Amino acid sequence: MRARAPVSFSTAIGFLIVAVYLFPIYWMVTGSIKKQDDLFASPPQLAPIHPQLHTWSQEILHKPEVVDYIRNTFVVATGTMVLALLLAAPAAYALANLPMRGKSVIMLFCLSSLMLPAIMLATPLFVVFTRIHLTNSLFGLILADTTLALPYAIVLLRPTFASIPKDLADAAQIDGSSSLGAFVRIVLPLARPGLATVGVLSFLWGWGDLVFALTLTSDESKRVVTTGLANFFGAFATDWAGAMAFCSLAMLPPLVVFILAQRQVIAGLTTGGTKG
Amino acid sequence: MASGLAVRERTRWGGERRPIAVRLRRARNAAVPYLFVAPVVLFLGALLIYPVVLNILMSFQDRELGNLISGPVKWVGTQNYSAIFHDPVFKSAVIHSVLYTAVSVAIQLVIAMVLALFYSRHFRGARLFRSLFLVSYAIPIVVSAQVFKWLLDGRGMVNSVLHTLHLQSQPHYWLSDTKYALGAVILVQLWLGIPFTMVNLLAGLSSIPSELHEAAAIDGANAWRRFWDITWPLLRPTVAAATILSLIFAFKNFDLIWIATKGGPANATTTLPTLAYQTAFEQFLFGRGAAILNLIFAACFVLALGYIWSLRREERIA
Repeated sequence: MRARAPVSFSTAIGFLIVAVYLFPIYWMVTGSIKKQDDLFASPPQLAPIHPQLHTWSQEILHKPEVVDYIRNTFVVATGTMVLALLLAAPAAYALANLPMRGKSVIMLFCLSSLMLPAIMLATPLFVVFTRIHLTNSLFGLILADTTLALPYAIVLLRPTFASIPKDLADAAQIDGSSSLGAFVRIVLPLARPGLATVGVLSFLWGWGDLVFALTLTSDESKRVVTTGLANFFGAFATDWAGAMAFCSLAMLPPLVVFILAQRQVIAGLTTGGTKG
Repeated sequence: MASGLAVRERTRWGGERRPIAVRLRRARNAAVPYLFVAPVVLFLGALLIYPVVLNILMSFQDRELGNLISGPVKWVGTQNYSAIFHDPVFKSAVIHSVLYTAVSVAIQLVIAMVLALFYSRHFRGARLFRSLFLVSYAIPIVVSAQVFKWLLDGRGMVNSVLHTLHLQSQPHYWLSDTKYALGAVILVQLWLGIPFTMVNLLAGLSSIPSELHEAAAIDGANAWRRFWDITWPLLRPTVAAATILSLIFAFKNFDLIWIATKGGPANATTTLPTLAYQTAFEQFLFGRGAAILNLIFAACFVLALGYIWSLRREERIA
């Protein structure tokens, strides 16, 4: 155990740098509770002098479509998380612990898929989904988002499973469980930290996706927050208070997830988790 | 596992004669790993490999809105590719993509390195501050882009600060002025990319044994020498991997540019991803859009090979 470090000059500098870095987010949230005139005050008004919730009640709470956007995005993000975990966990376990051919091919394939931009898949998926009537569907969006979340989930989960002693699953099977039974009851609970990382990152990825939402859905009823924002305020928006309130709302769920699961996010980031 | 079971069965049944029940069970056990992997292979085969192949095929076809889903398709050879290469907008998109990626990642690495060295030191709050940087990673790029759009607006914060400090008399429309727009989106990309690079460098720094630094300090090496003689050589594999991932992240970033400028004004911030989107989904030239996407794919593929190579090297060193 290291001794608790003293509050020092470094703490002050460290705080200052973070404050400057996160200033845009502070500016967004305070912008959503400023009066229209105060938004454009010069010199800029660093703290809201006349805080009000007018923008929130007018632009957010009284617009039923905003609730729809949030609900749709929740469906897509949660669905992506669940589907990615369901598919990736057994595969990563087999790739880590079971004897089979072609492991290195699959791993190389997953590693190189990490680099695929979403836009690369958007056109062909649009063609495929139109043929099988999956455009304008939240389920279609979940499938599309999972496509890019999955390779990453496998790359991340494989070392987690590899670190679980093989004897545990073997012992369970000798005691009469099936392979699947041993995997579900013995191995999965031990892999919880890795599964949490994959779950959190898949959720964040599903929540923030713009490309698939833009290309695979066009119905107003299927809009998510990312496409909703673009649509709500138009390309040349001047209602900045409204836009900032909407942004604050769109930021809230991922922010809560991040605060609850920082450690998982950091673990994922250091294993090659870029966005988009 | 399978072999352990087999040994037990063999002794029970005696000799090499294995009844059908045992052979079936062995076959089933050998099949289990493949059954575990099969859903992923099918899923990615249908929704990742097939689309990539379809994209390659489409880039040699004359696909427009009318024959996109069904109907007669004409094979046009490399016509889509030659059309792209003769298009001045494509040329500027290539230049913008390269500038955008290279400049933002270069600056990002320097800033992230300085921050990582600073925050890897032992002081109260260091851990909290480190994770606070990641807030920008958790929130959607669309949200960050929208916030910067306001900050950089003609009546935004940046202009009013510059005005208050008497650094400019006229407000600049940073994102809608052809002179400044590319620089402005590079700045935002920098903001987006710093936490990722910093966290990776911090992870690399924490794996360097502190005894090395202490020994060098006792030998009289100053901080500058300790960085170049100890930290840098040991951190190089981490830097290589973080650089390649950041290059890919910046190169393929569609969301930021699409929300901030839509590639405008007058194509001043058009990059390859936004050009591909506009060609396919606004001009409905799907064949030509597919050709641009394949070039993006090729570039990402080269970077991906670089990444895998740097991972291999890191494993060898470790």
